[in-house]
Amino acid sequence: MLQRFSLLDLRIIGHYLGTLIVFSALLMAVPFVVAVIFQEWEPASRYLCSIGIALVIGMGLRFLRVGPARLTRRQAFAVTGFAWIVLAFVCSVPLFFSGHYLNYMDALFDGVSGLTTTGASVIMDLNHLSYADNTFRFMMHLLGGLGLIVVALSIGIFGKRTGSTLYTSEGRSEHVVPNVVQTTQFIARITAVVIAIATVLLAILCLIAGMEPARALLQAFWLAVSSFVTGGFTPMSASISYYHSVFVEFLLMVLMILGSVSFVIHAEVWKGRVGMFFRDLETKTMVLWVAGLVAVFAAASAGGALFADLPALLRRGVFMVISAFTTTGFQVVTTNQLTTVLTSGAFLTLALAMAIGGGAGSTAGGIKLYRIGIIFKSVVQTVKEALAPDSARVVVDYNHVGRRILTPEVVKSAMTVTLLYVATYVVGVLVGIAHGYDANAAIFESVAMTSNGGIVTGLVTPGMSWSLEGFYIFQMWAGRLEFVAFLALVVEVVASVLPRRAGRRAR
Amino acid sequence: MRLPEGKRKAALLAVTLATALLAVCVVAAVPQLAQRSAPQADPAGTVKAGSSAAEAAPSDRDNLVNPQQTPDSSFLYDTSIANLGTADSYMDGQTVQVIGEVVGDRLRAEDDPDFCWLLLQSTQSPNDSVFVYLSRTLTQSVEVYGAYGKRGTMLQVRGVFNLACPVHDGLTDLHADHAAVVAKGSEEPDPFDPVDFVPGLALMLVAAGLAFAFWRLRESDR
Repeated sequence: MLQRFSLLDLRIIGHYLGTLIVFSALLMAVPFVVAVIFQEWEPASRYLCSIGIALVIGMGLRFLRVGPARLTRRQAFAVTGFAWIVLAFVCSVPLFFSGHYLNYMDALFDGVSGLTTTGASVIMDLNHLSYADNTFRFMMHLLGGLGLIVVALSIGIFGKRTGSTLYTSEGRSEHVVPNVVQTTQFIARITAVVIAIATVLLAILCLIAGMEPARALLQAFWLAVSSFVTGGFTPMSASISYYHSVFVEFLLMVLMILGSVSFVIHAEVWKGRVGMFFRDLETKTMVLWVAGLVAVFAAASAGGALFADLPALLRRGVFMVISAFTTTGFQVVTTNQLTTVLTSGAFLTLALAMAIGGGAGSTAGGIKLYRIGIIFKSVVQTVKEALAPDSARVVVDYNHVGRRILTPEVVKSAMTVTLLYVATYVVGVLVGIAHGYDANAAIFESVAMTSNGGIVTGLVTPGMSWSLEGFYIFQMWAGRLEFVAFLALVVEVVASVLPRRAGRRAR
Repeated sequence: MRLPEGKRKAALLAVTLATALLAVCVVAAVPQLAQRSAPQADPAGTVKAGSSAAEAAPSDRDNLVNPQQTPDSSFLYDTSIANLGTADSYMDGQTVQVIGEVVGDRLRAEDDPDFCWLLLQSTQSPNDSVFVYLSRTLTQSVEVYGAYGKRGTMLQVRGVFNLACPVHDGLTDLHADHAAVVAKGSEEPDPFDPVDFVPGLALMLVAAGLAFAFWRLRESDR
């Protein structure tokens, strides 16, 4: 029987959501400081006001449960599930009042896109956006990329007692070190080091290209964050093409690939066990998958005008494939080129790359290479069982942070999530087609939203239809939660809202 | 010599018919010629005008061949950046002229230090922009680059539009050979007004009060 949320459950969930909203005020303090430094007084007053709103709402919700309360697994799922959308509502307030959005729904879309690291944007006149607003967009990426709960735990917001439950409810099971809080701190430390190094390198490249020092430093930081957390927001409307630098593009490709590798693998490499990276199931799957994608993309592009020659294919084609498979969403071709110059085969190859996505336990979205590897291993097991004598027991193993035996539970879990992704892709396509759009574009956009890929072809525009926008918000949210936490939340909410049956009451 | 009456009438009739036929041909051809010489609108809505090369009559009337005249430079498309943003292969390689605001930075071109990149943003639809590849000397008149609090210089550029530039690895760009300032840019820094911060500070005070009340309640619970 499905359990309903009791009043106590709701109070505890509200309390923890309030804590997260208070935490979002800390996030807004960063753009406030940036605004003060650069004397952007309008954004400064707007962020101060938004911090105040977040603090008042957050503190108000914390009153729902004053005494200490340890989260149960069900409550943790609800907190995690709601956190993404509740924080998006709060974060979209300063964005909306920036005057760069046609309506609040557009600001909410960008809030969800930022937190879920989708990277698609419906902002207007991005090139005139303030440093403060841009900083906030990338802070949302940073928070969402690492995981709301991971960041909150790493700075000790929830305490140690509820940490473990919340950590696993966000779809994470990896423990780099035994303690959950220390694990989250380790993840945050890796991210900080990579972003710091990348910022320095990118800033040097931007300075050489001719940018002013302050702009170079800020843009370098934003790009480093966006690429490592596989976000996709860029500070300029022309995306990565803006920089006209093959070195910037190369560095960003490296960062995107690093971001799509599981943090557990990062930890192993950090500890000097580099061999673990090359033996891992995900690494092998990634190498095969990306090589296949590049080959198909090259073959499909050969007939078109855009990437017909080798330098263009190497520079733009490889970048687009990496941006798609890591679900970052950076672009070095225009949206017009995607639809008019790129062949339909190359176009759909990018969609497929986004659909599968990067590594599990990383910041990338999509079905995940780990699940594809597991399904492939399951196929191998099935074939082996068919060929083996009846008395034989077929055992298939794989390497993912150590040698593991393939079990039916692991296969079932991988198949379920894969099926849910595919089903959502299909429903999204139908919704796009129903809104009168071309089927190819509807396929691409649906995959880009669900996988949090973010490369768009023109359906996602400022002032788009609210029904399509709402569905894309749902897809980004569900895809980021990898469906299980999301579905658990939906079922519990529905069960709590529906009235009890009369028969059951009589019993 | 005098022709017989029958043959004279037949010849007169033939001359009259030939004259009438010629007149009909001339009448039919005049509107078509007029149409050809007039500016034409293409499907993208841009206006095709005779370029300076086409308008200039050859000084030497005996030389009817202009070796400089190529199909790509014969016409000038006075178009918009938004149109270039949705351009198809028809526009590829055409000489175009657009007006837009210079935004962002002047970035060094990797292939030639004497050239640079500008981003020209449409004034009508601010989400549309086009990359302009031009000589550094042409950018000397650009004083303000558009950003937050800065309205960039409005520039009119003319050059060859490439849907997928063969020189720049497939980038959509505009290789400009002419740039002129249409309007100067301006800087509009945010004025500091302490009153703007009052709502935020008031909310912070309320939040601080709530935090204190929460702490007292929790302490009293223990």
